Amino acid sequence: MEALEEIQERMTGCRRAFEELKAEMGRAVVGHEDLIEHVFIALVCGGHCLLEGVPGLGKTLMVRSLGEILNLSFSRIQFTPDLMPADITGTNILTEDGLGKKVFDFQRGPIFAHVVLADEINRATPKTQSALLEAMQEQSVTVGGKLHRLESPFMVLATQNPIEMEGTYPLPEAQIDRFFFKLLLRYPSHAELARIADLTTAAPSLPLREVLDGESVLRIRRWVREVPIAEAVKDFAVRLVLSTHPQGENSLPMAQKYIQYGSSPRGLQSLILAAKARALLSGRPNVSFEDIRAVALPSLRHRVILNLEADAGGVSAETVLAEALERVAEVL
Amino acid sequence: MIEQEQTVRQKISDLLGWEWTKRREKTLISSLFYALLVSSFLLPAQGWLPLWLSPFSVLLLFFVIFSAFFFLSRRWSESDSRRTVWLLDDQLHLAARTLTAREILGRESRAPTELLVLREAGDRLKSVEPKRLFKRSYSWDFFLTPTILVFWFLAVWFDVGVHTGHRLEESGRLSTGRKLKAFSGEIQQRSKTQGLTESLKVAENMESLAEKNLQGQLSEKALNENLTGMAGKVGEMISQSAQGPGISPTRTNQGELVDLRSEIDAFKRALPVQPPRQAGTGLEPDLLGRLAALPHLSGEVENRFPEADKMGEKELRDFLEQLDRSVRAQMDRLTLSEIQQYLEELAQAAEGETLESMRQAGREAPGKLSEGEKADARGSAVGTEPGSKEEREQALPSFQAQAPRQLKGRLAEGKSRSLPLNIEAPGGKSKVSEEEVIANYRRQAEEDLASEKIPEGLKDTIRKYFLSLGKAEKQK
Repeated sequence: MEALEEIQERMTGCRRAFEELKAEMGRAVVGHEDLIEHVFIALVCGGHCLLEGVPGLGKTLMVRSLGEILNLSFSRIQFTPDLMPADITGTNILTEDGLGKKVFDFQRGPIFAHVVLADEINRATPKTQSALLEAMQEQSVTVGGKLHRLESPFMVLATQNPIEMEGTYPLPEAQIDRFFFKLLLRYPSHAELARIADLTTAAPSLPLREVLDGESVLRIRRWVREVPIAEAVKDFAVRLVLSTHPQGENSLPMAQKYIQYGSSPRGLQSLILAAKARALLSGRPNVSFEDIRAVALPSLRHRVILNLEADAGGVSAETVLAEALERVAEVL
Repeated sequence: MIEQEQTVRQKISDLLGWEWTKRREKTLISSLFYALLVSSFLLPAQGWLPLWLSPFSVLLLFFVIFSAFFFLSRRWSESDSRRTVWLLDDQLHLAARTLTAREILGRESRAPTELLVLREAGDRLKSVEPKRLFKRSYSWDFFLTPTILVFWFLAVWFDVGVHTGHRLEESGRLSTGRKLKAFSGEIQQRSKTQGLTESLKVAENMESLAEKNLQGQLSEKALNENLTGMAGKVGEMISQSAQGPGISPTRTNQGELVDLRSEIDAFKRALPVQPPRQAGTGLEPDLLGRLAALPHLSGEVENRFPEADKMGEKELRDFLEQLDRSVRAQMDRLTLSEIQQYLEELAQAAEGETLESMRQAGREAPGKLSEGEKADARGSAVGTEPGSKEEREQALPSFQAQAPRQLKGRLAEGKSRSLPLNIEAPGGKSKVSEEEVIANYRRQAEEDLASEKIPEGLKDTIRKYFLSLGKAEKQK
């Protein structure tokens, strides 16, 4: 019974922390509440996010604010075509030790931070992109044959501009798949714009308060995996993923028409783990169907590869996924 | 925790039980609806179905078939249980807590987080009443069932449908078979009572034929042939028995014969127990008096012994035995004659029915009938009017026209007697003359006088009274 009270307290604590985080983020970032929620879910799940939006929507501000609130180290890498892998991971520099002996000293790159903003990731060459993606996946870098572990929690928030495609190197599907979420930044509304104007043109406000630390984030990561999920809910997630497959048994007509490749198993993992995190952050001990629905788009939209017909018809992955969410029954 | 666990278990059990009950009700309603629908469509074709398959049987049959089909196809499964629990979650906004708790209940080991789910689900389900939450909902077939039920009843009531020859033929067969069986039963009973051996044999044969026909082992045509053949055989038996000795050839009335037999029996009982050793000894005056009170017997005795004074008791006893046998043989002949007549009429009626049935079914009769025959056949045909079963019954020959009726009454304390009367069917005029009735009274009085119940001193008074009845009638 004591354990139960403890767990109950843990749940309440998570919900309260998340609410505080959102409130604190709201002081720095105007709007984007769902985006903030998804970024935090990805963080407590140990995933990375791909943010897509036009410049000037506050991506950098949001990532920096997140670092401040969580009291985590933050670094920003501006991806350019001439950016080399070593510029990200770091490199061995020949230095002299105290005895005057020449030794290689590893100079850590900007990847060695808790929260890394990879700005305009599609502007770097595939070689550099791969270096980042490898670090994201392995949470370590190997330089000069030596393995260097990245600090936990580690999270990469990569951004890409959807309109300026000239001179860019679009991320291959296999590498996009490594992102836990793909989040879209929408343009602020009238009221939000007015508030942004107020915030940025007035006297600077008080610095952001630290809500959580790295240790707390790691603890929540462990708790996320303990959240139970009913077989029926899991089955719904599986059917949702399968419905994106054009050749699948339960594929939707729209999927058959517009999707070239459906979501990978990583999509399902992401979906369920994110749903668990959402349940926990809501102070709920179990995953609901609503949790699955809420994280379906960010989990699956970058894992669904559309065909030429969809491009020609202006059909987006969101449209197909929205259809899937509407058509797939929660319980059979 | 045990409390919440029990609550979750109990509420889920209640919910699933309630939903299962609703499912069964819906299944029964659907089965009834579809059974009624199919039965209604089949009603016009009822004529082609076997006779034993009545509209009610058809409805019942389809109801059973549809029930079996629906119960099988809509049988409760795990997915139904899951969906029901999911609906509960959805209705109460429990965010899949009950669904998760139900799965956790099935596990042996439970993690602390899972226990928390159980607790939360238990707390929230505590005040839930599944029956109130998920009330009965009625589908379109529920509302249509009464309408189609009324339609079906009306269709059955007004006998909607095609009357096929085969069905009418079968109906006729059963009717003929039943009539024959009933008649044979009547004859058997009478034959046993009156000791008519030949009639009893024929009646047993008739019953055997009727049974075969009713069981479908004997076709209508074969039955008719058998009836005709049997009628011929009975005719032969009558003519053979007519060649035997007959004492009362003038007596052709069954009632008279019954009376005569009763008088013989009564007089036999009045005779002394020890027969006289010598022949030619005259009768006692008392016996002569009794004989005079029995009109039928005294008539026969007068015919045989014109001089009654010279008649000895022994001769009288022999005569009575001979007369008894003759009367019984005559009764047997009359009954056989009655059987023959009935069989011939029954065969004709059955043939007429078959022809009429075929005519009504639009089929060509095997042999054309004359107008008169057609009229006869029509008169006795089945289904001349919708649902006219009584008319069908009347169409068959009446075999009870000459049968003696029983007039029952109480003659003494704790003892009842029956008086056989030859009368017409109820509503007709009596054919029995007053003399016969008085004679019967006398005969029964003689029987009672022979018994020890009446004191000796009163016997003469009673006898005189009954004798005076006859005299008074003659004087009138």
